[in-house]
Amino acid sequence: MIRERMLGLIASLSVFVPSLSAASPTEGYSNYAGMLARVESLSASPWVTVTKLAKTQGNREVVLLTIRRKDKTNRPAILILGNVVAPHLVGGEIALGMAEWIVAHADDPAVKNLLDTTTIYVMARPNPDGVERLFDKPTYEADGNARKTDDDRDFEFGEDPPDDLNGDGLITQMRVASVAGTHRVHPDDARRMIPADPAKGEVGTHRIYVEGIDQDHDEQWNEDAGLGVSFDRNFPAKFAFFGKGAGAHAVSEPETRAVADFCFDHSEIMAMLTFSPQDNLFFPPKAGGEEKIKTKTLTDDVPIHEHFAKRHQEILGAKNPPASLDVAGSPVDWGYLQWGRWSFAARGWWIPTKEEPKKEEKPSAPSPDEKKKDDRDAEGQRALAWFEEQKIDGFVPWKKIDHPDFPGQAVEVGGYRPLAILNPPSNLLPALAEKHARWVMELAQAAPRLVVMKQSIDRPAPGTLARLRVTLSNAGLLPTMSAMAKVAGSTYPVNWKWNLPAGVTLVAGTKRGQTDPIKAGGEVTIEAVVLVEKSPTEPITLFVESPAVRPVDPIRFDLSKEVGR
Amino acid sequence: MIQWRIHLMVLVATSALQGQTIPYSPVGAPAKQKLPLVWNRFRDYAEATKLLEDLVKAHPECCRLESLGKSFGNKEMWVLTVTDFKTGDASQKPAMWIDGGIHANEIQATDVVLYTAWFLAESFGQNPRIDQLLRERTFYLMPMMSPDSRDAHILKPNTTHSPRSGQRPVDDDKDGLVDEDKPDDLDGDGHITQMRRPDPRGRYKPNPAFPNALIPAEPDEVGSYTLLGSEGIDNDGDGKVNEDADGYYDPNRDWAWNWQPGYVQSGAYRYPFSIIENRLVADFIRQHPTIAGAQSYHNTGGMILYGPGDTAENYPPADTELMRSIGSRGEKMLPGYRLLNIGKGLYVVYGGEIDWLYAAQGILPFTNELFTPFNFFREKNETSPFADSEDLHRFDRYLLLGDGVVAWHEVNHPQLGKIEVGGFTKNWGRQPPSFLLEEEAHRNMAFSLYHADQLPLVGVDSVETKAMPNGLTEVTARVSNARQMPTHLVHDVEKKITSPDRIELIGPNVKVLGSFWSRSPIFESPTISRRDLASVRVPTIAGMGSVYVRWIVQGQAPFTVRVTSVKGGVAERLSEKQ
Repeated sequence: MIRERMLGLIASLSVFVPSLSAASPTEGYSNYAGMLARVESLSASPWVTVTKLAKTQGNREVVLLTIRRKDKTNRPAILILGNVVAPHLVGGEIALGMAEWIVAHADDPAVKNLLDTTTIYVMARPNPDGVERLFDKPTYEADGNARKTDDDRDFEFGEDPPDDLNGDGLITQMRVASVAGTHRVHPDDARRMIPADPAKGEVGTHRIYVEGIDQDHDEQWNEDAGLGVSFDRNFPAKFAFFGKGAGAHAVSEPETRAVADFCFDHSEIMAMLTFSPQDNLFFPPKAGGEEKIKTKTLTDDVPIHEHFAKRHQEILGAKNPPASLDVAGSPVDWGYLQWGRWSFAARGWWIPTKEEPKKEEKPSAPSPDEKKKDDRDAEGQRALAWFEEQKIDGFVPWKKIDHPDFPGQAVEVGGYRPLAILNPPSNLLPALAEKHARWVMELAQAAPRLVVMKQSIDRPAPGTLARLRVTLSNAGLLPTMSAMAKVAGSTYPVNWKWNLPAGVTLVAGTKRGQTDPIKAGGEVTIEAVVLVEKSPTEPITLFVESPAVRPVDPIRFDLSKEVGR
Repeated sequence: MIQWRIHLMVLVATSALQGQTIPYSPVGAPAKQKLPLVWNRFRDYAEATKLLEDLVKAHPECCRLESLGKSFGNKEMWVLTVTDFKTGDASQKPAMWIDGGIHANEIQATDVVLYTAWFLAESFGQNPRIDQLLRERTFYLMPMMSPDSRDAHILKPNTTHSPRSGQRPVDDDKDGLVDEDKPDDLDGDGHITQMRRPDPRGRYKPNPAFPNALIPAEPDEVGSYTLLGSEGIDNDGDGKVNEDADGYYDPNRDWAWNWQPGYVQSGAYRYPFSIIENRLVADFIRQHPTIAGAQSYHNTGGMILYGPGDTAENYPPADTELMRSIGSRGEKMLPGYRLLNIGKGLYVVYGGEIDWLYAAQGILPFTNELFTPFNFFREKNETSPFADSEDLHRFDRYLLLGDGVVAWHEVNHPQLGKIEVGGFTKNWGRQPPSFLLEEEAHRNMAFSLYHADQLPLVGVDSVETKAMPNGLTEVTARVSNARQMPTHLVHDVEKKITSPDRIELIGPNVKVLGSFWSRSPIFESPTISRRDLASVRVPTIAGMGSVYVRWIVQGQAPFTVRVTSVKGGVAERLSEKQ
């Protein structure tokens, strides 16, 4: 046990390098080699198995961590998927951090219980190529993988990528002074640009572009960086054919295929937690699903989702989340709508808001100073305040450059530093990992669990027939099958099978069968009538199992000790 | 019976006819045949493979064979390329894809593709129309889209309807056992038929006209039989019979366009192209963007089908008109066949092959449902894909002489006791009888050759030059598409699937100062080039249509104008003398 703790400590030390001066947003974050080193450390744990699921186009591995007791491999499982949107690095860090936290706390009673009852699968970085690009220079906050794509569908591939014009290793923005602009400088803060609002009588003074030149002289700037296929847009639910980053078709990429196949091959997975800006825990789904092709969470599944959403919000303790990403073809939607599993998705972190001072009872007249404040772009204001407070090098001051495409126009390069808004300083990561691990433990304890409520052997005349009956109830919070899983037909029902010893034959009932889904507190009765020709030497046994339900002990009917009536 | 056919084949193959002109023979077949084959038989995987290899050996000038990879069951996914390899670049000619047997039980689909391969190869050098077609086009022929299940259908007990799936095992009933309860051939005759039990309270009775057919007793009538379903036993003791046979997934619900999971579209497997055989085909087609037309063979019911498969989708009207124009010729060539939209005329399909060919690849595809009940007595227009039971029995009695029906006979069923089995044989119902098989193959091939001929074919009609002041020259070219299909379908242009046609001016020391093009000979609404002035890009050239391109250049004639169209081919012409 000491060894696991040491490993956790070493992992923490090697990754979370404290920093005093203004830090780059990815400082303390693991690149691919760093991630593999942490996986290597974890592999020393007796709880952890490392599997390489696929090789990407960029020749990197999609790594799976299996965390469980090696003598208990038939447990329901939870899949944790991190960093499905490449720039959302925090998701991968939390996912990997959860694995490290669980391993380091394997002796804690709650964690021990988790490992006794549940298998945890972690794929912290399902798109290693896209993530690794963010550690390269120049850093461009964009999603995709290593496949060369034609992002603007003009039959040329990656012909006009962004360019680091000011040589700072970052792709930021350009603001170009223009008599016919779309944007203006924020009246309170010269750093921030806001869209000109015709309702306020405003005319734009600038146009905004991604930093770069127009390589192909089509008067579009940086419209085709050949960014590749986004993992988060390559799944078949709501797939956007011909969409940017979507891929040639759903599940076209080695990494998406590996993840999807893994999922289909592992019927024991009852739920998945994906880290993504598509956040369905702070924005739980509304009921729906009457249409033939389901696009919404089914009404019967909403209360369960809402419960875990509420617990997530309480455990994370954050407020005012940014809007959930609206994305087509995500694993989050696929997990529920097609794979038929509970599919939860967490942003994990965002720039916190300052607690607003409570408003006074009597509205006082606004002071002249307040009256002047323009409350547009509150998010930008929040981000800049956060960078200042945390000493994060999160904003590149606007600086004039000479731009060949805009002769005679004032062009400045600057703006938010890539990754700075989406990802927290690395010293916040361990606490986030622990909080999400605690939430996962609650989810694990909600697994469907079948208990014997009643069991009877009824023998109308000794030595002839026996009527065997057992009533099972679900003592877990989750049903044995969600409403969507029942529609999708993608998960296993509860299967049962009689094992009859010699001298006992079935008269009524079948040897094998399946039950309807059993909700929390719901019941199901299995019965059979057998002919007992001679007293069996071993009990009659009923085996009940479903891969994503807690294992049920074999139910024995001992004819020598008749019970019930 | 089978023995006799093999003897006949050997006899024909070794006869003196080989390689010689037959002095008097029926029209419509190659007069000289290097491989004189009979076409009233079905070939299994090994025989079909041998046929393809023999064609390449006999006709290396027009046939090449490659495998796209291995099926789940380790069989080769054969593609035969047929073209005139000496004329033009096979990889640049507008191409026609033809496949068969994606549903392997639809057995004659494969034989139609094999016949097409044989007919093209044997006719090359003998028939000027075929010679021209092979000069202009490349054919990619994939006879067996689901080779594992083809052999399963032929070699194992089945019905005419099975196996539609491939052979990858699937736990259909999710009971933890895989493919554990297949039909069982109780009488060992190779056919899975029906089970019945004589029952004085049964609700079925024999049809008085055709005693092997059972019909429901009248509501007030006592019947004599109870039907017990398809031939089989409850292998796994769950009280259900034949609920988990080989497969099950439907290879024609696996294609990426408008794919939907199994609860929406029964038969969908995990995700688009999760079936290896289809993925190999899709990869090949994506790597061959010259493929402009496609034909996929299925059975049954005599239909020429076009997309979309989903009634919620609409193709641009001009694309549908083109499909109907080509398809209506097919209706003439295939008596009894009806030209239908899949979604509206048959049933809604998500994730079907030809939807993907069209919507993702910009190809003009058809699916033919081979064999029509019209062929039984050629009297009435059929609206159902299957003949009614009486016609099947009537045809069996008078034309098949009883070969299509297993008469009811007693067997001992391990669970049900003494019962009777009987019904239609597995090679009857969806397949043409022996004497109509060659006709089926020929007529369908003829339609696909017509289709291939209608694919776009670009040419440079004229290149005229005119002197301008200051030593400049105006070069004007007319570039045309000589066939019915445009170089890009409307959907292709809208979704930017296939790159534009390029019309280039080439000449030594030529400097292009400006260029523009128009669909009008007097250059109304010209599109003016902004960059790459020598090479003008045109989104599409209409079927039977032209575009006009003009370059203003410095330099000396002659100039060459070359058009490169991905789906319309490559052509060039030298400027005429002034």
